[in-house]
Amino acid sequence: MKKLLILIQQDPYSNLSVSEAIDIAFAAATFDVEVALVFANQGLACLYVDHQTAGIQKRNIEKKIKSLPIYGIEKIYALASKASNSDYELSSDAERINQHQLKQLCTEYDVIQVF
Amino acid sequence: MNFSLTVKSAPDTPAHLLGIQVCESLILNGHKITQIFFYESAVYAASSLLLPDQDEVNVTHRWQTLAKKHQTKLYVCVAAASRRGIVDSDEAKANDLPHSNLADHFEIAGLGQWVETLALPVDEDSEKLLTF
Repeated sequence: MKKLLILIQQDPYSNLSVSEAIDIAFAAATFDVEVALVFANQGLACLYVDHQTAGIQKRNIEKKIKSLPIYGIEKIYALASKASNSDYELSSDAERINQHQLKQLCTEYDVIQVF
Repeated sequence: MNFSLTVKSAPDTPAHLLGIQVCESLILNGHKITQIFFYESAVYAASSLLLPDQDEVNVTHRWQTLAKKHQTKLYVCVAAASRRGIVDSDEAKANDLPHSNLADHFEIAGLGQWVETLALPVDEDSEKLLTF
């Protein structure tokens, strides 16, 4: 099985990038590709719990991320130290990893796409 | 060697132009660019209505030249394109739009095309993927 790693570094609502990154994940998963997602930097905001998007009139990315396991995508990582996001709760679906673990992941996947 | 490209950067960014320059350079050096997949804001390059100033690069023409001279396939993601106002005649008719604007030599394709033939091809030894 081929393996695709998607690294998301942008915040979820300033443009379409995160939504389109997840669309790639869905498409790859339906073609029997093993997909993992890593959220880092501004992208960590995608993993905050309980997005309130009515005010900005944007589609809720949190719902899209929660549907990843329906497509068989279970490997969801957050590149974050415990101290770095103390003000916000990150989704418990994401496993916290450090830079060293990200480096290791990058060697294990056939294709890496950065958004 | 055969190369495929994923282009995600918008036409007005240095990364997009670098993608074109790398393609042209690879071909000059005897390599083949089999296909290019336009995603995210890169799909604007597939608009027949782009009208840059005369002293700026017309990226649409540069990609079309690659397709015409070297049989490179230019695929444009249907979802990314339609949400940015790039539609072919079929999509325009289906959605009752007054016009279509997909430039010649570009083809509408789904993300499945990207997965199957560009990102993770069966014969991976003969195909290298570059992303801009």
